[in-house]
Amino acid sequence: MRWQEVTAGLIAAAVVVGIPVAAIAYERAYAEKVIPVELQQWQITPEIHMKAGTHVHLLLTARDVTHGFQIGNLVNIPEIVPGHPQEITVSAVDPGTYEINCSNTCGIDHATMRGKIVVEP
Amino acid sequence: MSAGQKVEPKRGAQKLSAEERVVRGLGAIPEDEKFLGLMPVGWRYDLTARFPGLRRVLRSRWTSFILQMLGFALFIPALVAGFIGTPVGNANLIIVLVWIFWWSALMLIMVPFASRIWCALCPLPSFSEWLARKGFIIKVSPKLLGLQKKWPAKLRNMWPVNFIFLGLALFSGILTTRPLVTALMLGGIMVVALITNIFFEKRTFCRYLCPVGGFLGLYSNFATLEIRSNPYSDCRGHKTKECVIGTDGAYACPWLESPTTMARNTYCGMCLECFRTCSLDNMSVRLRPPGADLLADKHRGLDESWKAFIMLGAAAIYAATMMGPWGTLKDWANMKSVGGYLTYVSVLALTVLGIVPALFGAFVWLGRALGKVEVEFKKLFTNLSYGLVPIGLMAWIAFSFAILFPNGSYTVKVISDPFGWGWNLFGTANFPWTPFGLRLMPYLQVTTLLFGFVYSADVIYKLARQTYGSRKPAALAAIPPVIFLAGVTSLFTWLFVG
Repeated sequence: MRWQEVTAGLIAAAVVVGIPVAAIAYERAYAEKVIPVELQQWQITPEIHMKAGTHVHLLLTARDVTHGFQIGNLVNIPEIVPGHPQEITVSAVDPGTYEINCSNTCGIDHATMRGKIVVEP
Repeated sequence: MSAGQKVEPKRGAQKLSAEERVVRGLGAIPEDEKFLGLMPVGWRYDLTARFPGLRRVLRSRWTSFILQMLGFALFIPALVAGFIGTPVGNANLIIVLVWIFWWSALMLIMVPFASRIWCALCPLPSFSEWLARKGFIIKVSPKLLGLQKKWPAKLRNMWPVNFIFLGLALFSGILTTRPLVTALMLGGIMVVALITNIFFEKRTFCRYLCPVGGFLGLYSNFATLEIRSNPYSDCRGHKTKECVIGTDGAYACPWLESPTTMARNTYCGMCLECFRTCSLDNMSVRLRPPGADLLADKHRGLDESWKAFIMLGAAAIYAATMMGPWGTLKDWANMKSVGGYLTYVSVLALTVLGIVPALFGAFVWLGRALGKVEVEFKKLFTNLSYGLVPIGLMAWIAFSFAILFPNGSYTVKVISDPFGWGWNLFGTANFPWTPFGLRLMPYLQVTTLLFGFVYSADVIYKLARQTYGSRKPAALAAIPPVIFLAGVTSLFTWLFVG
């Protein structure tokens, strides 16, 4: 009889406590992987850090005018229009520092619009 | 018959015996009476006799616990979504689950076909019940925690829930669209259930205070399923009445009913304790024609009449507010201005508490004048008001079609992203809003309303016959209330498809 109460108690705890805890834990794990990246004249923020062998989701948002998002010759999103954020997934294989630049001529200092992805070992 | 003696197995289809018809309040109904001239009032099909495995399932104490856990598995994520999820209603689990999925399932399936089965799943009183019982499943001790006081005699009716339901109905505009408000309401109900259980016995909260308990109870009289002792004759000779006093291993009816003589589904929460207490294995789950309890001449009262009026009036006002073309009415209900909201509240309260009962009363009074046989007006008014249950339930079913068909597709989206946090658990987070069945919907609504009208008219005639005791005055007395029904049906048809 006692085992029934214990089993029921465990099931109840799993449902009543486990579900919210799992939801919040999942959200935290998930949220870490979604990095909001802001593009505005003439900066790309924040500096992105990730571990080699992992991937991140970048939510790219243009704050002022249309920008582009390019990581060397690996990734190029040519048009990110204000009001229309785009989500991309970036996988890091080799450690190192990778430069990001705007790939859509966005104004007089377009050429200086840079950012960084740091892939840690 | 002595305790512990087994009843002979019975086979499915059966007719109520003369003795049982009296016990169930159907004594004045002729034995061959049929609903719509088709379905015998006394026809029953005993599922537990036909499927003995079902009885074993129902007797198991795990069954109720598993049902409650199913309720919790839906309720807990919904509550989390309500408190910390997105404030956008149609992207939040609590709004989609409660006001689209649960409501539609309740009105379209559970109440008409399975009575108060929701009460068996409902997680809201579970904490308080576990606390009082000091356990989850097993009966640990015969003594329950809490003061176990009796609910005041004057409040042992539906009046408290009538006003509690109405109080919540006044906030329907924001309740059904704001996740936080819905979460606060559900959390609040749980707290009130807990507090009630500290002072009062058993399922007092569910029986006398639960906001949805009133209409679940009343409309369950129409359900095609019932839990009753079967055959009643075995219970008559059985003096120990474990279902009322409990046993070492199971509780006395938590809903404060006497399962052996129970005539109506109104206060049967389908907790299944009576299956576990009965040493004769004499409880059964039976199919029956819809509306059988409406003819039960036991425990009728004006509190339940007013519940019928409130539900009928509220259905009309909700249909006008949510589905009608009147933007001003929507703004009033959504509290866009204090004056507008107060107007909405006043119109709603006045309609359901005053106008609908007064109109129905006027038609009953006319019928009484036509019947020409002296019967007490209050008795006729109360009895005939139960005839509004079929049309009321069908109006809510038609209303639920209009909730489910246009909005049901939100369910596909929120199962992948229940909190609106950008998840995509099952790959359906970007499922677009896709209304379905909109061409079919008006036909379903009209058919449902017509069925409700015909069934209500039939029940009203039978109730008039029960009240008068003879055909001719009953037929005359039923004419004006049936005209009232025709008006109500026309109004709903216009509101839904006009």
